[in-house]
Amino acid sequence: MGENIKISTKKVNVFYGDKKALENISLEIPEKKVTSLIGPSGCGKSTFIRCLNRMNDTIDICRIEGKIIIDNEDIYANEIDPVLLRAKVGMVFQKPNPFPKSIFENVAYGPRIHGLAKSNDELDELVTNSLIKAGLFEEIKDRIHEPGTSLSGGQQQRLCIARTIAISPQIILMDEPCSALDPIATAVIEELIDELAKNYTIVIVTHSMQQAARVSQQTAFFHMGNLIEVGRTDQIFSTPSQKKTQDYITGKIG
Amino acid sequence: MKEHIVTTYDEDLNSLKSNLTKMGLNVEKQIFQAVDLIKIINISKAKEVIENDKGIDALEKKIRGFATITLSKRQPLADDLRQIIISLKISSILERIGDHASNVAGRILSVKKAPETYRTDSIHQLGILVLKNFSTALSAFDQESKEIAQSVPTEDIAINSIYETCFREHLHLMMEDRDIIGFCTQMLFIAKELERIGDLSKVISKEVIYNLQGTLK
Amino acid sequence: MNSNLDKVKLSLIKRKREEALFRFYGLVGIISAILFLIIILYSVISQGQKAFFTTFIKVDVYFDSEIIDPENKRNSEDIQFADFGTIISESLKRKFPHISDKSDVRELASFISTSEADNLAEFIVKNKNYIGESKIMWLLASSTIDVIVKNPEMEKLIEEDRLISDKQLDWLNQIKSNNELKRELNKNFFTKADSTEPEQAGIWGSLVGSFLTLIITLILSFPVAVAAGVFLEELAPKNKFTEFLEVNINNLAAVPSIIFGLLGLAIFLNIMHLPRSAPIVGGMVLALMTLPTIIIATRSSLKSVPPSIREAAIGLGATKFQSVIDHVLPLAIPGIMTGTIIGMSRALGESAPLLMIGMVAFIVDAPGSFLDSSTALPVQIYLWKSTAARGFVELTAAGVIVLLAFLILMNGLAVFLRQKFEKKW
Repeated sequence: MGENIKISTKKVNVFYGDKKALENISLEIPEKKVTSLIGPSGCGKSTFIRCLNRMNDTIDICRIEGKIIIDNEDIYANEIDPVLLRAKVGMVFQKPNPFPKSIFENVAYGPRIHGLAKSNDELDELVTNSLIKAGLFEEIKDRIHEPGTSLSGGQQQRLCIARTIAISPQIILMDEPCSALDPIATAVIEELIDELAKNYTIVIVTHSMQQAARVSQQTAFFHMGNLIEVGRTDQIFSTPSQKKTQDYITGKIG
Repeated sequence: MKEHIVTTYDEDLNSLKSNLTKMGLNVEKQIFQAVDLIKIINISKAKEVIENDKGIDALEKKIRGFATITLSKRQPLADDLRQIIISLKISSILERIGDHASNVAGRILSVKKAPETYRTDSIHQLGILVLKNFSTALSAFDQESKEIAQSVPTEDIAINSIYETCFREHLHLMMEDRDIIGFCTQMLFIAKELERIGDLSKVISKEVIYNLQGTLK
Repeated sequence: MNSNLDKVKLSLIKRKREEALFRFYGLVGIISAILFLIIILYSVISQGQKAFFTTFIKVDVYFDSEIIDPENKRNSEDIQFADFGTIISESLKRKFPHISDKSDVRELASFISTSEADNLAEFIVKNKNYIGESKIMWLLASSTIDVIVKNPEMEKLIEEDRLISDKQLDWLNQIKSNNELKRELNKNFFTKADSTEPEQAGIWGSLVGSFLTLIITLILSFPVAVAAGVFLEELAPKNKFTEFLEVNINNLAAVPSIIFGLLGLAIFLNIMHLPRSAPIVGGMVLALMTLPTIIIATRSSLKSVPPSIREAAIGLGATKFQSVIDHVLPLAIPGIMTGTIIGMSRALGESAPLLMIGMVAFIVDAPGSFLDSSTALPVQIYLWKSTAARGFVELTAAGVIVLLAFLILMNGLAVFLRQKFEKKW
């Protein structure tokens, strides 16, 4: 495709105990583009995305084989610290989960624990910039010390996005970020994704084909733990090469 | 064909196709009547052909409305999307073919009677070929067959060369007998309409191929 | 369609009846409980509040210098040891001049509490100018008189069952009719420790004892239990050993408290030779008893924090420990406080383990430090209950009231703290 590859997975297999959740996934994620992962429920796309920032480490029975390479480093190598990895690879979850603290504290938490701001003024600036980039600042600038949980669903999700970009990750993973939001909030987030893609590599899991078609440049279709097809988004949704892909995106049984 | 999980979706697509097929058959009948009129001039039949064209226009409107609703309702992708897009295109092409057939009948009306000295049958033969190729294109759509579709442009080459022959022939006729210039001119117009129908049939076959493989050949 | 609705209607009648029955039982239960509570509280308070007041008798005390300071030396030490008891009995005799019989004089003298002799001594030492003078003073009545005054129905009993003789009853009635009797707040109860004389016995000693003991309990059990709960729930690996540990902790919460007392006796007293009856030992024993309760409460409230908060913190690059301390623990605090309240309330009211480590001794002074011998509220109540003197009956009930008040105060504080930390998510 002529662009840099940011994440490269090679023959990744994931097991939950004895059950195999992902089979032989080899996928390349290009830099500073949006890649969407689609597929029916239980196909493994959420499992896959959670491997990219080693969130699956928190699940005891989850076992991973294969290589996941980010910036020429296998992130599952022994010397890699997952905590450090997560400063580089941020995540936004399906249900907005702001901390029960003030809006300011929510965004400031990441920079605080990683020591990114040397003074209170720097921290203030960091928080403000993140909120601006997330398109939330104007709406809440007068109540930045009110609890994050007092915001609407769409605002909360943008707060979570602000929180994630406050630590300046290079990659942002989004696991169905709009599934709990109304259409207008969804549109706002999609607009935000367009903007963010200029500076971050984005991987988004979505149930909505139309959303994947709208926001992403590359789409990967998962089915029952297998990667069925990956390619340019406009091709996948107009002339997919695999029958399974076509059946899924047109809503046929499969 | 694999079925959609939502059965009404299948019903919608089938309904769209059957309406198109119906429109195609109606247009085929119009062409048949028009070609026949070239051989035997019948004023009342000509008027009938012109009148029937309204029905074809109405069908085109119906199909367009239905396709639009299906697009907004189903947000189709891949083959479903292509199918609906070509339904829109083919219905508009059929409507234009219908117009051309109606124009032929209109020309016949203004001619009223063939002069004694006009002996040639060539335009009628041209019409028969055009009708046949149109029917082929229609079958290609109905049967979703790439092979059948591919034969149409090939045949159209022959049609075009026959048209050229007709044209030169009538020029000769007009040069030899100045009395039949008026009549021959009208016949030439009719030949032009037939040639246009031939071209449009080729377009139909190309749309069918697009639907089947996703790229225009 | 209709038949379905009919079936539903039928079943609805039955269901509603079941629910109404259940509600009725619930109501009966609650009303009975409230009734019992009212009865208990009424009997305790009506009995106990008598102890908050005590009887004083007006006496014109003549500080006979012959008895106090015969040599007129005004030496404080000598004065201290003078026979003030005689001063009192002489002053009383003047009230009833016709009494001369020695046994009668003794019976009269027994009207006044023996503590007053020392009180008067202290008074004279500070106010030597009163030597040789008279002063009208309200002296503390003895317990037997106090009991009769508080329970007038006892006057009707025959002499054998009544605590005082007929003669004494006469004198008492005379004193009453001369308005020389008054009832005042029983300062002794609130300021003194235990005593053999009921009118001199107070709750202060055991109150201080309980307070010191509970401070030790809180300091030892709370941090350790919360840390243990956090470790076991969040940071420890999940294997057979930790499961075994969890089962054991749960069981420990149900162990009879006296076992902990035995443990304290064996280890803290016999092996470590810590001072017997001291709040520090009592606190340590109670801390052992309270630990499992708080650990269990900590674990369960940590479990109830939604995993989405943890994921959010970890997704931002927090370590597991950071995510727990910064986010999970603050949200778990209300539950932990509840467990602490339960644990500490139990510790306040437990007497069995304290008996085992010796906090049952008769202590006349309030403890001054964590190492002094002391007793605790529940033990004090138990001791008073077991003592023969009639005057202790009201004291026991009063002790219960104080215990309840202490409990309510402690819980109130904890609830207040819990409210402050209550966060919504």
